[in-house]
Amino acid sequence: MINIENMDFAYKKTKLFLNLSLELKPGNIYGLLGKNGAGKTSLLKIMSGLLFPNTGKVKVNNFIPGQRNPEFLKDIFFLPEEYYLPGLKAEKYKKTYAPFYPNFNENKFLELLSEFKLPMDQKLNSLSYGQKKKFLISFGIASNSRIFLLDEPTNGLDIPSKTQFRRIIASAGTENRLIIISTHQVRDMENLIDPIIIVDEGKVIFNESIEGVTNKLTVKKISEEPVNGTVLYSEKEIDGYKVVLANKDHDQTDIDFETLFNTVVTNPDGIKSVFSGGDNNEHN
Amino acid sequence: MNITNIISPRRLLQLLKRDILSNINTTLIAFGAVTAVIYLISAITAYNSAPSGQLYFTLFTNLLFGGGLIVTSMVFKEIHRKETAQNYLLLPASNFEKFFSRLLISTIGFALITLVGVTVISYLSEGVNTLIFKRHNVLFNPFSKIVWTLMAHYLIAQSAFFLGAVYFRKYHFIKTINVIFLVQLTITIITALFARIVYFDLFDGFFKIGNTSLLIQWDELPLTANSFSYLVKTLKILYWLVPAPLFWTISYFRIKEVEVKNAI
Repeated sequence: MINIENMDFAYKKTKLFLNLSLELKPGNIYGLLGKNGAGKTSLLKIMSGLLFPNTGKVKVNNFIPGQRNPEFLKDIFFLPEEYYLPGLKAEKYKKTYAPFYPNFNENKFLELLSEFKLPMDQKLNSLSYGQKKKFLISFGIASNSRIFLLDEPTNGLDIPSKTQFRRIIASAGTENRLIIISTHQVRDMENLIDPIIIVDEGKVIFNESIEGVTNKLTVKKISEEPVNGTVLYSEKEIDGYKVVLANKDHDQTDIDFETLFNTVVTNPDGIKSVFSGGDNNEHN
Repeated sequence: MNITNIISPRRLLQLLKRDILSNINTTLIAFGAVTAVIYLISAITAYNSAPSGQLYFTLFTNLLFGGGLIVTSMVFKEIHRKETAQNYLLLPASNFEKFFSRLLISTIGFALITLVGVTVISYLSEGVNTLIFKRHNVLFNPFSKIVWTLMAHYLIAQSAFFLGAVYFRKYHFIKTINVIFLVQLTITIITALFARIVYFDLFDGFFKIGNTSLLIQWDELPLTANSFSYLVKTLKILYWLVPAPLFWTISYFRIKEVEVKNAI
């Protein structure tokens, strides 16, 4: 559904992606993680046709996103971190924008607005940041677009809304829909995103399913500081050290996204070796 | 290539509706203000002993060029702000439809609304003036040849401001005027230099021919009546046929190239 091959992208002289390749398939809710400035937003913009790659091939649903073909656009919904909503009420907005999406589901839209408790009689530009976001999420899901790109979707949402968001996105994740969530708020995404993609220094350094992570990595708690090179990653905690190791004994331990992210970013070579078949526990 | 991917009447209509609706409040406020100002001017003129015969034509000209070119300059404001550009560029319509919708609004749309508006306002205002002052200004005639010639000139001027609206991120109107001024100045200098070189034997000083200084008079140049009229005809054809299609085409390609770059 999304195929990127050897893509380079730069902002004037600042190179962002070098020879990046990525293949994403429908039926998944991908988590796109990366440090600040790693290029998560830019990658989403390239996929949606808001930015054009310098070289390489980008195909989304067999379209070149940069051409912004209407057939392509009606099947993609991008929720950016900063967005604009006009001074229209929800009903008027639906009447104006929904006809552009032939598969728009009006009942679903109203159902989601009601679930998010959004006012129908208020102009959209007077809603709070979180309410605007909930409105756009509702519209996006109701548009029935097959590709759903969300940039920091839980930023600005209150705690109950984050729970609602997770539930709604989980139920929207059908087998022919591809959802990509770019986020820093990894804790908000636990039990939602799978697989996980991590971008760093212009490359995709990790693209694995949760099952793969559980099979290949294990988390343990030890009291002594680990010796260099014996673990993939270690983190000091109040009562000892949390360490990440290659899962040689086929343990079934859960690794939280924050620890996974830190492991991948601090020890990409070690992780690569573990996931490519080796089982070295190398510590940076 | 599927033609519906470039233009679909249904989508274009929907886009036009959306583009008009998104500026409807500003448009209505502007229309109300213009109506009030026009009536005030017409009432003051009618109150004077000699009502004007040219009032509405002058108002129409100012509205068409002043208002129309300012409106055209702002017609692509949406693509120059990150938040609005994302929303607009990802709207499921083709680049051509996005271009064409704004072109229709700022050309035929604006010109016709101004034409109909000034006509209606002139009839209403002068009706009121006749009742109050027992005299009225000459009504606006939307069918006169000069009005339609003016509208054709508007399309030429509009095309330059349309390109400016797509090209410049800020201060579209002022920047377009500056560019037009610079282009005009450049053409003038090149033409003057060309004349100075080609007709060097006519010049006494650097730009002086006989008693005429600075300005070169056409009739002082060794042009025959035929060649002069041929030159004027050619320039007229170029004026009517080249700038508008050229600037609109460049604008379309520019819209296709727009990216939302100011974020990582």
